[in-house]
Amino acid sequence: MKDETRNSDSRNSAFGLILFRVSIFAFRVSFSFWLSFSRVSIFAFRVSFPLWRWLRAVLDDDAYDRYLTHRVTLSEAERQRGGVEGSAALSPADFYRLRLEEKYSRPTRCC
Amino acid sequence: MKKTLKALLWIAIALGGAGALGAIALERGERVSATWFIVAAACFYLVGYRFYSAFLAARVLALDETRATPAERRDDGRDFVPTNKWVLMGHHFAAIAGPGPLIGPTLAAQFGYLPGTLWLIVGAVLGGCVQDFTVLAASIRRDGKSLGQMAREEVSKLSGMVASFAVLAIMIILLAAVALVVVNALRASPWGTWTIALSIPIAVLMGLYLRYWRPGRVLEATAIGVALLAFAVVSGQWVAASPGWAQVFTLSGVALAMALILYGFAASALPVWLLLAPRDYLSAFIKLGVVFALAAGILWVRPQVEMPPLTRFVDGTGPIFAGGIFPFCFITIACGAVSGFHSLISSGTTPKMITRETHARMIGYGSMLLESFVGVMAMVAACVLQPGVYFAINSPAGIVGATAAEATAAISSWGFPVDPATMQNLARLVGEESLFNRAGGAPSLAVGMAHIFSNTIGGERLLAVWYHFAIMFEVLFILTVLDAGTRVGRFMLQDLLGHFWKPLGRTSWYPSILLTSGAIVAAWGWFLYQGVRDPLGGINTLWPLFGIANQLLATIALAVMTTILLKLHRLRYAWVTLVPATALVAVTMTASFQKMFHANPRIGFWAHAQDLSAQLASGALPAAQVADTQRFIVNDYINFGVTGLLAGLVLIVVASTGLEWLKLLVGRRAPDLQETPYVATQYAEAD
Repeated sequence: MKDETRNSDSRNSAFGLILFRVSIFAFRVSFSFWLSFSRVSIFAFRVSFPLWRWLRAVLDDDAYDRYLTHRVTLSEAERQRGGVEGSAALSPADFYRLRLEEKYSRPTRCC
Repeated sequence: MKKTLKALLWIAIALGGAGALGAIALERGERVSATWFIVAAACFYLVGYRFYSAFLAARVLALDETRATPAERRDDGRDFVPTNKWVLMGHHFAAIAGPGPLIGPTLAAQFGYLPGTLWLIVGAVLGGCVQDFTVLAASIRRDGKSLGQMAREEVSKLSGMVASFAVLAIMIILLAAVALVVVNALRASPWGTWTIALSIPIAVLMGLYLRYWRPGRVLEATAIGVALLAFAVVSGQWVAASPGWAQVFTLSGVALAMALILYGFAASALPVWLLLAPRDYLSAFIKLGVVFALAAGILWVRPQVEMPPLTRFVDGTGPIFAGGIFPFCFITIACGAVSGFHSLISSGTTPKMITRETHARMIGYGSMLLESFVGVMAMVAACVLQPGVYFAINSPAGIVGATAAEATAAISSWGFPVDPATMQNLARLVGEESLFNRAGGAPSLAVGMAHIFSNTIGGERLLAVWYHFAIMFEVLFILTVLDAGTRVGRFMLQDLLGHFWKPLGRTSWYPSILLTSGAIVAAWGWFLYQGVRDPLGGINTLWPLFGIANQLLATIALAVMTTILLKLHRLRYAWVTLVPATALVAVTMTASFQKMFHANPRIGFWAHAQDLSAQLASGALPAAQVADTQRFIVNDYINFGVTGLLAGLVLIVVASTGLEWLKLLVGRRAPDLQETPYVATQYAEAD
């Protein structure tokens, strides 16, 4: 009886040990997966974000944002000099229309 | 140690380039892998950029990192805007890369792949890039002034006037030549015509979206436009398969020419936001994407080049255009190696946006290297076709005959075997009724590109879709040049007419807009119409005229830059621009002379007119052809006059700049440069 109990205990502890090791292994695998996934994500983000910003800038998608930033910088400089602020900023629609009129009045596309 | 390693690396790159060029130049009787073309070009560009452009930047132009640029000094948030160098390079490349480096090398492949490839690489490194770079640097030092203004101030008023006039003349001939490429690409092609026709309402929809619904959200609108355009390409096959719809979209050359003339007029006269700008966004996006995709496709597929290095047509008897390698290979390649038109961009928007003088090296020299690389890829795409197929697509009916049997027999007799069944099968695979008599370069380039793309994705099953995608890509950005060019031509004409009557100069006064738009489209439309009706395909006449005009502008730009270098250094570094300028004078003058006076009627306009007149006088022509022949004779005389005018402009520029150089060298004129005074930059070193 004692032997049986001892055997059953040792079987239980061996099973527990295996379970423990498997859990550790699963944790390590999933952790390394998560780690590499997050590394890949960070890498993809690092690569794609500048590309995205580049594409936006090349296609003039951020032209209005840049115009507003420029206005803020200019107003700040004017305020520091003690001058008065100029006219209000153009609306996105007006800025877009004016920018196109200017852009396409000179050679913009080549042969 | 580090220095030695660097030196060894550059020696290895130089040897790699020489080896790759040797592999493609010395090949006899074996097929060459396209990879060698890419390796040769890349190595030469790297060496040229690393050493020659560095020499130009440091010694010749003396670019100064500490000097404030016009973008910094006159920053207004709209016109003068300091811009990140990579973004500006994207803008500059999208502006200079047009249909020229795709069409020119495709047409020049009739000489074999070697002459064109060599000129693309060498011409760009020593000529085209130097022109773009020096003009950009000079314009930065002069507050972003245009080439015409620089010519007027640094050389003479006469040179300035000639430059301004040359720009308008080039614009008109350029628009006619590229419009003819569109006509020949879409002629009797319901799939292609449907796709391009649909791109107009797509552009209008984008225009409305950008103007009223989401002002300025270009990427959103472009994403919608690209998705709709993909649908237009795919849906074209259903249109081509439907007998009723196919008939509606099967247009003759004349009908397509009229449609293009109407389109050009509309794009010039309508508000810019409605049609022109959205189409330009679509075109720029697709242009950048396809150029990178083509490079990746060539490296992935590594196709074998089927064209021999030199063909029998080096003697000037080519079916696509007549004339020997010198000067016609140089005239035909045009923009891929040296493009005068680039000097307008380099002295236009770019100098007003550059943050540092030193960025001009990457933007001016580097962008032109990329354009040349596009030309090399186009050459590869054209040369992966079987030569017989290439000539069958590009040869006009007036040379090889109107039927498939006649054409294939003529081409096979030249040593480039091809049979009607092969051409019929190829036409079926790409979803076209026929591929014969499609002079212009666009269809053969599209077949080559489709071959590369379909070997990467989709196989033969998707060949038709890829072919029409390539046609859409080519036509889309030719139309962008067409509408933007017509509009700029209109502004130039209004500027000129404004001197005679003020209201005509007002760019927002509608009677003036309609009058000047009509005048510009009538001017290029006339050349287009005569090209469409020309039994020799039109390209034989129009592309050389365009090449001469383009190289003329490059000659003017390089001559002006030589004057500036003489003022800067006297004779020491003037050879940098003087050598390519001299080469271009030789090319343009020889080509002009041959186009005017060559005894072969296929080359010389005068001889062609005389030949036709003799046929008329002999009474041998059928009555139905008499009126056409009389019109061809008038066209020949007009083309003769236009070529003479262009050659005359070259001579005026050479004479007036030469006089200035002489005055400078003997000390009769002070070397007074019109640069803006030095102002130190306020930007930190790392900006």
